[in-house]
Amino acid sequence: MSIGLSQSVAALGRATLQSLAGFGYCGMLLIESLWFGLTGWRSGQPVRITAIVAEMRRIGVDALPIVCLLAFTIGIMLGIQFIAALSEFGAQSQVVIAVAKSVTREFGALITAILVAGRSGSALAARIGSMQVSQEVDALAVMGIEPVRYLVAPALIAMLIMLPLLTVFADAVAIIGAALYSAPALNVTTQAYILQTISLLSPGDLWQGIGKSVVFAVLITLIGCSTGFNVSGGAEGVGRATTRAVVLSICYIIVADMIFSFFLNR
Amino acid sequence: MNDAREPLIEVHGLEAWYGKRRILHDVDFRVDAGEIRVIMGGSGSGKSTLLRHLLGLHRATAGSIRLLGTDITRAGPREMQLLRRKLGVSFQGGALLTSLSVGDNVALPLREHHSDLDENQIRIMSRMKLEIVNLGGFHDLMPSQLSGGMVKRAALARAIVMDPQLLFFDEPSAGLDPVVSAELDELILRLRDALRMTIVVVTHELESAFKIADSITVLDQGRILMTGTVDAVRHSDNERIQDLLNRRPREVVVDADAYLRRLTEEAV
Repeated sequence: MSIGLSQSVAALGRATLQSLAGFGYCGMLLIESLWFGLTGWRSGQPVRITAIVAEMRRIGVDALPIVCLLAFTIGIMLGIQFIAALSEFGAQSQVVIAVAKSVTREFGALITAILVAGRSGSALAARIGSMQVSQEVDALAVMGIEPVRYLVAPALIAMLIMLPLLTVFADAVAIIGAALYSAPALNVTTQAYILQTISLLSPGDLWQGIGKSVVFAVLITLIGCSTGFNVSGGAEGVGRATTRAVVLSICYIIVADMIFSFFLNR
Repeated sequence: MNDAREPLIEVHGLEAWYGKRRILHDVDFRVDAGEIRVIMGGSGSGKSTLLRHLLGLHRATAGSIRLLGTDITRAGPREMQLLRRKLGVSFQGGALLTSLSVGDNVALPLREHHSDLDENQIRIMSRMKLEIVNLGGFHDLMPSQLSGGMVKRAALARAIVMDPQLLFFDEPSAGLDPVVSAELDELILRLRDALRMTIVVVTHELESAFKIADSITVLDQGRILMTGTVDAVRHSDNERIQDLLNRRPREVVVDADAYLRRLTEEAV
């Protein structure tokens, strides 16, 4: 009994230490990436623009079709739900503001981040993980090329640029989707619906979503990269890391979103 | 130009631990300029750990490692970066970046460290090194399109593209057929003679070791058994060395008490 208890306590202690070590490692990756991004060119370790552009294409441009599809669908779905719910109170006309605020403050950033975590976060973990397994990361290090500068910094910078842009794009597409469904139900034109949405939105609504997307960008990149760098156990380990990166990213995104929503909407 | 007696690698009292397990015990050796030193030992002897310490990929628990005059156990990131430009490493599996073509892999160190060179110069220099390893026409291929032997030669071209003073090989013959393995041995000898490089080869392949080595360091269970010429190692009267040379497995004696003690410690 006492051995079982001490083993449980030891396991809990180990898990806590591992989590703390994980946070510390992610913090180190963030600081090193920002350091290389800002001062790397002075020490002969610049973050290459070509690498950032390539990552921007992978993270942002390649994700446009799927973000478009999902945002459009979510827009329609929100239109359906809000019309159904608000019509019970005879308040269908409030659909416009309800959709506009919920999309720009919440759903645009959240859905885009979850999607990018599934696409690019997992891809980062898989790419760095397989490089770790095949000693490519070691090869970079012994060539005097800092792996964090070569692999993490371009991805982080690209993510910080592309995720907010994708979020704004998703906001616009979701509102168009909601307009296409809701305008006929409200007996207004689509154009009038969109113009009313624009008039109801304040810059603060957009900034709330954009601010969240910046935090999500950091979370997705750091979790993807850190799980990749810590891969062990060959191809099976890479698979495990990929799954872990997606699950952790989505969990942290949702928790961070809740914290943001709590403080920004009081 | 380095003096023939000048040590390029000096290791003193090196110890390495993985958790509670001691991997290297008080390792001491030196490698002089221009020599080919083979570090030989069976599986689990600690030779890969020793190599990772020599490359600065692991921090030593105790002791010092001096490469080209720099103590890498105390060196900062900037010093290590400058030192690493003078080192070349050919990893066991090649470790070519799979996202880059063979030519771009070889050109990578030049692009990263020589911003003064233009693209034409970089292309010429990287193709020259590919010619040296007999991969002249393969620069546009991806690593996945190469055979195992070609991957190792391409990795070698990348390792020598900066004309390093010190070149490390991790198991160069592993996974290769005897003919390709012999070709690689010839290439290592040619590199030493033509480019005057000091070369450290970590291997468990006896034939290859005896063919290329100027001197051999034999490692067993994290301890150096001896360092000497090929003949000295061949004629050593050390029982473990003769076991290794004659491929005799180590006699395993099970200590039941020690095993039970370890199990109990792990459970607690």
